[in-house]
Amino acid sequence: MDWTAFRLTLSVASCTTAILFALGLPLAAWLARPGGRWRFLIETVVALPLVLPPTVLGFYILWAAGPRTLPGQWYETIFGSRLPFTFQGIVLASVLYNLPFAVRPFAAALAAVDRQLIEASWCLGVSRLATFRRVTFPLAWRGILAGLVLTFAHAVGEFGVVLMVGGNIPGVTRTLSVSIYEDVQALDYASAAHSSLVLVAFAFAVLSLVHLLERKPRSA
Amino acid sequence: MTPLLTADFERRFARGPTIQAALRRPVDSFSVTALIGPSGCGKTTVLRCLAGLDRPSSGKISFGDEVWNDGASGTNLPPQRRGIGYLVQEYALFPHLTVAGNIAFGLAQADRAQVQQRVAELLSLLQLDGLDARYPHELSGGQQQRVALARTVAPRPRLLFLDEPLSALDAPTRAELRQMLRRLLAEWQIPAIVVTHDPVEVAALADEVVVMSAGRVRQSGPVAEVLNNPVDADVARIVGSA
Repeated sequence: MDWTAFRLTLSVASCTTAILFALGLPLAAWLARPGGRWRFLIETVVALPLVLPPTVLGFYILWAAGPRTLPGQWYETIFGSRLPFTFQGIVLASVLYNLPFAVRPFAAALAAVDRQLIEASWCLGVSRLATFRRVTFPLAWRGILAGLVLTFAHAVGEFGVVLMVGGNIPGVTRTLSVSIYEDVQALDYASAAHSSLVLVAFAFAVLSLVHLLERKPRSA
Repeated sequence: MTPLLTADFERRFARGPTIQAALRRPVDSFSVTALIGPSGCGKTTVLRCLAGLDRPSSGKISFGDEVWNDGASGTNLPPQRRGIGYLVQEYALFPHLTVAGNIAFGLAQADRAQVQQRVAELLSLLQLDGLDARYPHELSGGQQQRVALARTVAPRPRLLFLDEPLSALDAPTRAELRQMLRRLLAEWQIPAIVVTHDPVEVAALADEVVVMSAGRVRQSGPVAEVLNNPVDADVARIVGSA
């Protein structure tokens, strides 16, 4: 088994999960509010990666991050390098591709918190942000954690978009799933079998954890 | 000039009724105002607009010289800045916090000793001694109600809004708490507006009554006056003097 690819996979998945926690939670909090006429549009955009082929998303990321477009030029001016075929590039791809796996469970967990509790907190003089910290988050953390675990697991298994944006550079962009593809191409079935078994065991453990988290221990 | 809570507003719903409110209550002295009407007449909407949880479509709400809501200028003070207390029918106790945690929730966390003292004072006043470490689901309905009341008054609000405060209780507990509630409100000297559909509660709790029906105020005045001289049969039926 390719241990370099294994470590790289874990770093990509950890970065993806951390970024989606920071960006996905405010987005989910906004989506979980009642009302909002145009909310369905954002919901649709968030859900798009569920149905789009990874190659489509990969293609747009390559295009947007390329040297001929504004975002690509800005990135190059600020960081002095280009995004495609780098670690940062596959993290960005992975973040976009995993958006629904984080935001949807977050939003479901936040929306399940009784609105009256939030309003009670406001009427006690507690700010919106403090109410989120002291009421909403403590009551929704199981669902949020389940979303994080799912995101991590899905990011570990990501293949198509990573290959599109990152290519197959050992130690930089060759993740475990890409290395399995590479092994099979090279007829190294022993290594492919080894890596595949690791991913199956990992996925099984993670999904068990998610199901345990979603089982409510006590009702209030 | 006496500081007044004045509310004169309309709340329109896209597919539903229009609620009109007209209210003038002194807020520098203690009095309990009952807002009575059949279910669906808009009482709760009025209370939610007063508390800042809902926003009137037009009109004005002011408290003394503070403008809480002004449809013309677009002002709308959030509930946090109105200095009020709001108690809902289902109590809405925080399930992840103990009784003490719930009561202390709205108190500034800075001075721990002061917070503990205030919590202890309210626990004993509301006959909740020894329950401070319990969680809401370990309490009876009457106990939950008293914890919710303690939590609401702990930060010493300037005005209390109580939405059907006794409706979720069984009859004996309700009768017991009704008397306790009036006594406590008088003791705290916090003016209160109580939403109810029960004429017995109006008589037991309130000094003034505002009668609502089908989204508008039909009559308001001192309880005895409205009970003895209802303007029409509708009002008479609502206040139970028909």
